[in-house]
Amino acid sequence: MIRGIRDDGRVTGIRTPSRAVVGTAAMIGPLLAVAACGADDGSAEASGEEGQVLHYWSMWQDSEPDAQYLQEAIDEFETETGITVEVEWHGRDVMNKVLAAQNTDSVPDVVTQSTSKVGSVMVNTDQYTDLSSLYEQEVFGEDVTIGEVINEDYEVVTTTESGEPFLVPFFVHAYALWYDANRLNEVAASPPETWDDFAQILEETRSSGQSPLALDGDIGSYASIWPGMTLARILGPGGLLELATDPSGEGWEDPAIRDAMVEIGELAASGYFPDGYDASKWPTVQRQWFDGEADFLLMGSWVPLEGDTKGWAPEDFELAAMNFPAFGDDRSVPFEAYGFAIPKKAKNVDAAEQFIAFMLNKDTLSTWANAVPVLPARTDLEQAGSLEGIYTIMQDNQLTPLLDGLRQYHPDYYSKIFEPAGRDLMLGELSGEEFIAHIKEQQANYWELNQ
Amino acid sequence: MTLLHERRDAPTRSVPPERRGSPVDVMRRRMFWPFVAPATALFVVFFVGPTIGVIWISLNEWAGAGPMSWRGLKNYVTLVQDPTFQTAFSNSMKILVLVGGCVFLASFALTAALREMKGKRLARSIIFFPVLVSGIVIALVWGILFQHGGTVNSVLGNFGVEPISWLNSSNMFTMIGLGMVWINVGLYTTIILAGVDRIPIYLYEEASLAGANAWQRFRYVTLPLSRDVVSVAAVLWTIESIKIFEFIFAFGGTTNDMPPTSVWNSALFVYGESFGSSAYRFGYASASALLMLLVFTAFVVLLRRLTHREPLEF
Repeated sequence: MIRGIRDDGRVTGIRTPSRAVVGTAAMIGPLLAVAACGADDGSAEASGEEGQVLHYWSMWQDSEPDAQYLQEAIDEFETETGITVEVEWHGRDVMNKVLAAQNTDSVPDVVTQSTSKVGSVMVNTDQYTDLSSLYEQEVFGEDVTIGEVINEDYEVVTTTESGEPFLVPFFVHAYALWYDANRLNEVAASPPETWDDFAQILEETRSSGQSPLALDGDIGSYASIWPGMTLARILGPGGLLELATDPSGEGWEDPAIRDAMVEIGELAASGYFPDGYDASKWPTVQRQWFDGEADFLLMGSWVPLEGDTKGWAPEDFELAAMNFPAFGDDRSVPFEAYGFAIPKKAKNVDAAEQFIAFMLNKDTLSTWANAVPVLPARTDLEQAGSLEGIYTIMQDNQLTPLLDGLRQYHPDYYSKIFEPAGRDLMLGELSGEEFIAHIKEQQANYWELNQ
Repeated sequence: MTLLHERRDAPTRSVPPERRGSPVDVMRRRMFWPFVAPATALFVVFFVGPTIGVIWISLNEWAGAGPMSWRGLKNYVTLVQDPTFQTAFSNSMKILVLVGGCVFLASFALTAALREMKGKRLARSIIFFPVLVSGIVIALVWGILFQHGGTVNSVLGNFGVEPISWLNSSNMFTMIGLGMVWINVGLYTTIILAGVDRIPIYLYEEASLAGANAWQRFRYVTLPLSRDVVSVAAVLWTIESIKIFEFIFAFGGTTNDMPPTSVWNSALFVYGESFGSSAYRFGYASASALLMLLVFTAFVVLLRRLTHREPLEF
């Protein structure tokens, strides 16, 4: 069949696909195939016709012991409810992935992380779900509501400025000074309550040739918590946040602050930490502390987890905690809460709420919390033996957000001003006086640029 | 038939034979867009589009989700006054100039040595090896080697040397610089050697007959005749140096913390302002990324102009 004659006089017949078309298809085809592979084909959602599918993004990785216990609980949840749980074990940077996902429709139904991380990613961007109604729901298999079993002191970190709860805590970490009660039995019998008493013990220890304090100086947050907790003691709850957000920085000139920073700075200058603590990689110094080469470690309540699960603690190591000594009246205990939150765009809010209610079940939570071990968020559970001491301290004192929530509310200030200056102070790069002058100037400059 | 004649004679369809070219040329023209279009589409979607997006974001304040608020050029104005950015910028310049200088000096030294040594193939492979290993792995190993109670201090201790604080705040950036040199010197030695291998052997023979020693042969034969390769390598280093990230991140940081701000370079600053420290200041981070892109583009253009000359044929 003749269709026409081309410019070069050759007769064209029935058109077969030209090389151009074939070439294009050959190149675009694989791209489309790749795109198709990458696209969400909705298969997970499709199975929702038979039963709901819950997408859970976890702050743990599947190799961690926490994940193993959670997976057992998830299996039980699936059996009890018929809801299928699709878990993604993202690890600690899960909220970075949630942040990116919030600009799409593929958000998880429920996530776990700390209040500060969830606050930064979901509350600051108005992408959280108000969990008020969930707090009124009953815990799975029990006659009590979630709100009734969660320690109400945690509300200070789990609610927005307008009072809406955005996270249901699962466990908490509290900060204290940790030591081996088996070796420091006098301290265990009568823990020092004031800084002066504590400083005396430190000096006696140093004079004997033993390092009184342990610190992995390569971790800025571990170092800066020393001036952070000292400031919290001097200024009381909320005072550090107020000081850090003072645009003039003049608050640093307070004589009480100056004296305390000079005292804290002396710890580095006078050799209270082990040799080389400023030039080692974590966990070198922490392991030295477990081995008895230093006496006290200022740290969160994940210390037992590292001592037991990782096998760093010797058999005769008896872990004990004491509250950070007072510079005045304040004896508050800083803490961070970790738990479940539901993104605003979550498709299965009902299933997510059932999941959270199930995970807070007394047996489920206590099995996990005692095995790991961590401090469970419920008030009516027994603590693991190594955490009884810190739990008692928490019960006896007011709970406050770690560093007054500075890291949550002003993460940029914290990471660029407070943490570097605090680290330099504790590594002996700055004296107490130099620290005051440095941070005052840096802070005034920061707020002038970032108001 | 009339119709066919009309089509054949139509002036709009007639193409001069010299423009039509051979059948191969005609086919080549037809196949141009089918081959180029997919790559162009990918380039536009994955490079041009995001770049335009970054420009837009840099003019706003944005937490990574939710609404943006317009800031115009304020992010850029704040950036140039930000001490942390100034430190990061300065560190990037140190990496570009000082570390780059050390990389090229070491590469030239190795080139001079390798060109005339026996077993140079094996030596090349050994020198190139660090390039193949992940920067993160090297950073972790260096951390173990150089920490206070690490292998290096233990070995030195056998000779009565007191432990050296290789990784404290004062020495950290120097150690990062040394690590960068160690990782990159193999690549640039290989590139420069590839250029040197093209230099005819008789030039070296003539130089030797004229009484030139090894340094003079390098100075008057190798260096001038490998200039083109070196200039390309210099551009490559300029581009690479702005992207250096993982070694500093893994060497200076820990499991949950960024390295100290004193060792941030521009790449770490971008990460720190976006995800790294949970600041989620995407507008600010984008502004810093664009500013550094412009600065380094200017460097590349300048470098190309400074090193441009007519190619030598030999």
